[in-house]
Amino acid sequence: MSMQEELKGLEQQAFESIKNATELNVLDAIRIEYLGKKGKLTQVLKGMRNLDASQRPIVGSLANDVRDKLTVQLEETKEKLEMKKMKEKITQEKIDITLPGKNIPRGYAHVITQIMEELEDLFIGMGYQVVEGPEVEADSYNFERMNLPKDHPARDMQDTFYITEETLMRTHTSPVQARTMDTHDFSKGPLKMISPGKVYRRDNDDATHSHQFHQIEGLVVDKNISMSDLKGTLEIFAKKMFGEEREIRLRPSYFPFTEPSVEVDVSCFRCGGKGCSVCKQTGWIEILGAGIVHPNVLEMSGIDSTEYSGFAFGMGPDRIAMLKYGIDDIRHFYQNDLRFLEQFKVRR
Amino acid sequence: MRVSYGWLNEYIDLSETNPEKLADKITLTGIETEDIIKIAKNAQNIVVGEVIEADEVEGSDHLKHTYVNIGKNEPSSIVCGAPNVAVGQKVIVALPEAQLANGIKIKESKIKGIESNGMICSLQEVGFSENVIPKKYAKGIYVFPEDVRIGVNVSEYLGLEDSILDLAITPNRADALSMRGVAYEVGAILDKKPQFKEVSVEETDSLIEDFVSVSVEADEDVPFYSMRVIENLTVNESPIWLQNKLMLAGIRPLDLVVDVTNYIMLEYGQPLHAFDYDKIDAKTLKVRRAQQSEKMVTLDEVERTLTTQDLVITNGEKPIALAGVMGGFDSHITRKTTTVALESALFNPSLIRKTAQKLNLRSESSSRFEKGINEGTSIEALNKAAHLIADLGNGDIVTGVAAVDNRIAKENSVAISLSRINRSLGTDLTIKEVEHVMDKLAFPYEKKEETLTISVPSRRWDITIPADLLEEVARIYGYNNIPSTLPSGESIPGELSQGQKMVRRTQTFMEEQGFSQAITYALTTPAKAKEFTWIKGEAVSVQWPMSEERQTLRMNLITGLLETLQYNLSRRNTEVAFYEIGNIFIKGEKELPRQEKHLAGAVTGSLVAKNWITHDPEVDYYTIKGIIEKLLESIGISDSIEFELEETIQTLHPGQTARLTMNNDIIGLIGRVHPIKEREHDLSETFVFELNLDALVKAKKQENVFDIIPKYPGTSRDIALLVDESITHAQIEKVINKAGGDWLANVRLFDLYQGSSIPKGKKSLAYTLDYLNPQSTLVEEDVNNDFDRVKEQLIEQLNVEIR
Repeated sequence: MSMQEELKGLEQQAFESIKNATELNVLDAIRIEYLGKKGKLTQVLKGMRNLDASQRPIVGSLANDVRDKLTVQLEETKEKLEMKKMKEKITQEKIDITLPGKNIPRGYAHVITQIMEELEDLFIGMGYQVVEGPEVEADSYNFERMNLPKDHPARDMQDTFYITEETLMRTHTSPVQARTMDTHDFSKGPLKMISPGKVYRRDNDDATHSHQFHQIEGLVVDKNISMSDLKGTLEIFAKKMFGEEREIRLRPSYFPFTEPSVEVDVSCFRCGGKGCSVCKQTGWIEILGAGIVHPNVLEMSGIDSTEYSGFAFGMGPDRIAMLKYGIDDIRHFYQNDLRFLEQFKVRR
Repeated sequence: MRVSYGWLNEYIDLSETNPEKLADKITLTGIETEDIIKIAKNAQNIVVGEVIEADEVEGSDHLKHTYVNIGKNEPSSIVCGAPNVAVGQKVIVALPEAQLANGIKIKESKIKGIESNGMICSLQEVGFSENVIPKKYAKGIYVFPEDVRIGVNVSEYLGLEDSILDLAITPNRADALSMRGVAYEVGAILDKKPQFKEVSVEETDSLIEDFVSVSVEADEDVPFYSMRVIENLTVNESPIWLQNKLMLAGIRPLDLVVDVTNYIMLEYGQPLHAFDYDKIDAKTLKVRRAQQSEKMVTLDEVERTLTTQDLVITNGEKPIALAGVMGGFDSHITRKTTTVALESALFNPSLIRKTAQKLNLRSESSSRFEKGINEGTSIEALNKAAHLIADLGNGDIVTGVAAVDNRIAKENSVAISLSRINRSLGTDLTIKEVEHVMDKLAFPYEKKEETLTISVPSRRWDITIPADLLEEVARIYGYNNIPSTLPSGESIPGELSQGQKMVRRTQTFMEEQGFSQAITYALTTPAKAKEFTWIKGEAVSVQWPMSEERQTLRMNLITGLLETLQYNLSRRNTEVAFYEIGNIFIKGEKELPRQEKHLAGAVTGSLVAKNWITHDPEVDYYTIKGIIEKLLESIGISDSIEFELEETIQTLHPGQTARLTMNNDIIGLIGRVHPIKEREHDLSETFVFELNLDALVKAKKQENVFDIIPKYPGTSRDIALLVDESITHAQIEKVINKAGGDWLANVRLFDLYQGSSIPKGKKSLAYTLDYLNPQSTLVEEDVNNDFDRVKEQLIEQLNVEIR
């Protein structure tokens, strides 16, 4: 048998084996059998040195040809087999995509915090600074600087936890405003601030009273601040907080640190003003107190009340949360029952 | 203040409005109307009847069979159970179809076989509350005075269907604590002038000087004191109109004299006091401060011990009344009184306030003295009261008034310009409009160009500065007519401070780690206040706590969170993890305590609910430490924070607690709650932490800077060590870092083993050391040298065995 015939036979044989191979390892064995260092093709080529010099290029070329063909065939078959195998694997890899995801459960932000942050962001957007202050205050800042001297009858409106004769648990966040007014440099612009935080009153805890609750008070002092500026500002607040269709209503009231003083009602966000149980059939819900800063309060902070004027307002995030979500008991806020907190898990 | 619509109508024509409309208007212009009260929802078929027969009912020990004349042809047969029913009485008769206050509808019926066509009623049964009913009729049916007409609806006498506006008077509007004040207010609202009848006093030939003279010790305590005397008096019950006015206003009628003083107080806002002249036992009265420990028995028969802060009326020797607060028992009016000394005065509000507060004797009278009184009508009120008492009790008014007048005559005038009004309110009013407001308020004024100077009437003593007038203009013009604008000045950007931003980020971070936010009470018990803290120092307590549980300000947040855990676990909420951000308080050297903002967390059980993937997710010290490390990393503190074993805090596990220090200051704690404490709170293994957020806000932060991304690959070496159990990871890490050489970039513990395959008392730790030279490729030999040096140092310093 000539070498040519031998090569042809080898090729035929190899083709047959490749065709029949169904596993990648079998295919690899075939590659080694024919094309490996000690493979059949190499063996045949080793016989070349016995050939005639004229025959060598012809046989050599044929051998290379066979090698190339086999290589191509092997590659193609390998790809086919791999694809087949991957398909099988993919089929096996099918999972129940409805099983729960791997999660560390998220905790919940307290509903009061959410309300407070919403309010803070609203006023920051209107150019206000957020200023905090001491929860244990001097009597002078909590009362006297708010135009409430020691014997003032309005002190009865706020029953107070006294620490000493001269220090107390603040009953409102207004003292932060007095402290800020003391140091504000008006040459750097108007004073626009809100003061959020905890406040304390000597109340027995029940469904509607809590000895600890929250307040956010706002203050703007500049030249030419007017009642209409207060009204416009609170309208924006009411619409953002309770819905675009809300209206506000101002009623005269009394706070020692503002004159004139007003209570502000928002048209009922439950019934839209027709009257329901939330607004006690009036169509309006009392939401905050406000007014034009009393000249005494400005003067006590060294601000010239003939040149500057201001408005102030104060509201209770606890009350706002209760109204907004129909929460029936203020104690929920301080009991921290997860089943309560969980109800406010979607942050606005 | 309970304002009878019927009474108000005597001063001002209300025919064009109704109680509901008026209440709304009053609320919107200045005084909140909290409620509109009616004694009876429906007073139909309740009439005046006269008992003409009253016989015992056979077989009953209390029922009586009565015949009552109700103005019809035939008297009504009514069975009555009241003990005080008797022939000749004029009574309240509820006829069939009438509805009583308790909702019961009267029907024709038979009681013990006797026809009963109605019911004879008590005042409670028609709707009056027990505390305004004359004592005499508190138990049993009400009996009218003689002069009522039979058959008419009782509302005519009892005002059952009158509307009572319940006004919530703010401290600045004490002028509306009187019917006259309310009439002026309503007059301003309706643009009508209130009408008051003139008061006339007919005096006899007797002279006041022969009865009494008055003197005052300190002018500032008693700006005004006046007295009239009425003699030859018969003190009976007041007429029905007077009794009814008091009852509608919420005051119980007593006798003619006391009722008149209360009536005048309601009308003028001027409290009066009446003494039985014959019991005063002196002709000169002196108003002075009480002596220390001086005693007197007040009207309620309680002996009071007084101080020099109390003001008393004396008969020259001993107190006969506690000025403005309560009369003395000895000189109180009785039915036998024939001569009355009637006082109308002004006292220092702050003294009255303190005495009333101290003795817990707040009354209609003392609260008016506290809030201020119309100084312009003290004498008029006295005169009208004297006139009424004399008129209704057939007495004679002695000529003259005994008085001390220390009032400084002051003209209260306040000026305001139109431009100031428009600037402050943001309005565009004309001077005419402002004048119209002043006219409605019945405030006299002078106009000079565009400035009004208002002579404020004495009835509106709350108005003293221009801002007060702004309020009057705003409310009468109408707040809802004021435009809406925004401050037009310079605008500066608003933003959160660095600390506030950090608090917000921390909140989000903690929530992402599975912790829910709690807000607990800052006031706790003295013991709980000082638990779980590294902070030395004293806690701060309130003077008059509401309860033991809420008396001391917390010095830590962990206690509150443990209570929160316990609260939730007892309600079967499992897998609970909470955090809180809040202030703690430490007694300081300054006036105010030191306040620090802290972050604390507490978790028991697991942060991951038992699920199909993870099977043993119990939290341990390292879980919490990992969370805190991640938090600190995200804050980017540049100073290093050390974890040191903390064994001294009683409430924490001495072997599983670390204190965190930064520049030698303790800034927080991480650890397990002491097992004894866990048992106390019914908790299984519970891990907690607390950090001083203020310290973290103040700490130096790393700046983000760009550095070349290393071009050359690094290399690493692993090392396994066998060491004594007592050697800590921190010790090993420190040695490695110190000996590591220039290219050591990171040290990472990847295995820790203690157990049977290594000797007892030993543990095995394995570390990976990463080397990197950002400038060039590392030379194998350099790294080997560095690594060998680490090994040597570990052996030398910590006696480790390299495995």
